[in-house]
Parts: sequence; structure tokens; C-alpha cells
Amino acid sequence: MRALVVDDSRAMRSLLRQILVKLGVTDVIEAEDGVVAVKLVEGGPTPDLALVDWHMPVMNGLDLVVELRKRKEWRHMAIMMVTTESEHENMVRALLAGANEYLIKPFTADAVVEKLSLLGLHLEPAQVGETDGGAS
Amino acid sequence: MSDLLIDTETILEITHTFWGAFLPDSGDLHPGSALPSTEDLRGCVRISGSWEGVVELSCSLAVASHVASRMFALPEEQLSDADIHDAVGELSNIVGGNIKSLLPPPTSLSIPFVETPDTRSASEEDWRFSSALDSEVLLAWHDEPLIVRVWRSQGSSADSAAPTAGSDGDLEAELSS
Repeated sequence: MRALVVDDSRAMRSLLRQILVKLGVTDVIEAEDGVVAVKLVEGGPTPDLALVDWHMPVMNGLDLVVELRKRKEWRHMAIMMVTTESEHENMVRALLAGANEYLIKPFTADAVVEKLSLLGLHLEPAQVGETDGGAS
Repeated sequence: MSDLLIDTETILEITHTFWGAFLPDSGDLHPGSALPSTEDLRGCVRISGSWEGVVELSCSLAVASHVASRMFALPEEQLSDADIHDAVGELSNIVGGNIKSLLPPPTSLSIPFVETPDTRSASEEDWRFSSALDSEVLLAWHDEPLIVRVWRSQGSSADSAAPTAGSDGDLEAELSS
């Protein structure tokens, strides 16, 4: 499985990457804003999952979701907002724009697992010694 | 004039939630009112709209380095200044964003900016001259300070419904078309 993490904070991208790697997702690409994210998706295999922050410079997360949903070939990508933005109206906007799930910061690793399972991605912490990075 | 919208108990809860979620094995935060202030780094986010002000998170370098070490999964000695500033900025973004969620809509959140005593410029200090301290929470981690302050811009009112800025407004037109 391939995952895209989009957040202007390197620290947050690192934290999310750590969680994904522990869940066996080792193919993780990162972007600091929506424009870079689109270019990454255009330039390689389509990610199966995108974790998207809302407040970013250049292109924010909401606009990125709209952009990602414009292309038919990317519509299978599960998109989860990972953000502090919790106003009901804005959450609805994100979901209407095409986000599949919504995770509020701060979050625990268990909350990430739970949300991913709602997306049909049933991932479990990789056991020591396992090399398979696929979903369980 | 509006009432105090964000009390210290709420700020405490938000900060403890962040600490427990991202740094679960780091030990708890405790009341830190007796500590000398060593606010080496200050992460700030501006809130605009129906409420105007700044949420400021200040801490010592020790706290900032610990947070960054955990978020980057790196030993503290391998962290760069940029890494530490990034972590403080994200921490202030999370605290500020959660505080913003308690304010009457519509409000918007800025990208965080991080100050050190050396980098604080006159322009960055301007917002303090025109603000009043609304709430302050003093916490400590292993006797190192972590302080959250909420500054309200003078003249800000929770009753006013100022329009929010930014590109999000264009989306509404697009979705309704």
C-alpha cells in the first residue's frame, strides 16, 4: 500500500509516517502543501491513502481534496483529513468535497487505526521480523 | 464587551490532551507557576473572524527539544533548530486550533510562526501592543516551563461576525454550481 501525507509541518508528517510504518505501510510519500501533493500524485503510482492537513500555504487541504477528486484515475484514493479544523460546517465541506474520513488533531495511533478501518483499510502493527508492508 | 470565552480549565484540558496523545511516555505536565520563566521559544497562531487574537505557546528549549525528538523520532542531539521550531509551531497550531474550535464561528487560523528572543522583531511584537491577555496557563514538565497564553486583540468582540479571509470561500461557489 502507498500512502501520501500532506502537512506543512515536517514534525507532523514525521509522526504520521511513524504511525503508518508501524502499521506496515512502508511506501509513504510526503508533501508540504497541496501543489506539491498533486505533483507527487501525478508523477508516480496513485496512492491508496492520503492524509491531508487543512491549513497549509500555497494550496490548502480543502482545495487539494477538490483537486484530487477531479481526476477519475485518482478516485479510488481514500482521503482522510487530519486537522485541528473541527467546525461542523467545515467538516461537512471537506466531506462534500470528497474526503472520506476526518481525524482531529491531536490523535493517538489507535485513533488512526480506527479511522483507517472505517475506510476499509484494516492495518495492524507489524510484528518484529515481518517484512510484508501490505494491509492485513 | 464579550465574556471570557476560553477559561484556563479548557486550555489545561487541551494541552493535556495533546501531551497525552503525542507524548504518552514522557511523564505528565504539572502546574508550573513557581518556575522561573525561560521562554526560549514561542509558537503563535492568529485567530481571525468573529474573535481576533493570538494563541501563544511558550516553552524552554528542553521542552521543545523533547517534543521535537518524539515527533521526529530522533535523538535530541541530532535535531536542527529548524526541527525544533517546526515542532513548536505544530504544537501551537494544535493548541490554537482546538481553542479556535471553541469560539463562535466564523473564525480562521493562521499558519503558525515561531519566535525566539533573537528573532522577535518589532513587527512581531506589534500584536502584543494591541492585545490584552485573556488567559494564561503555566505548566511544567520536569521543572521546565510550558506556557499557553491567549491574547485578545483590543476591540475584538465575540458578537461581531467578521467575514473570514482565504481561498476556502471560493470552494463554496464551486460546490454549489
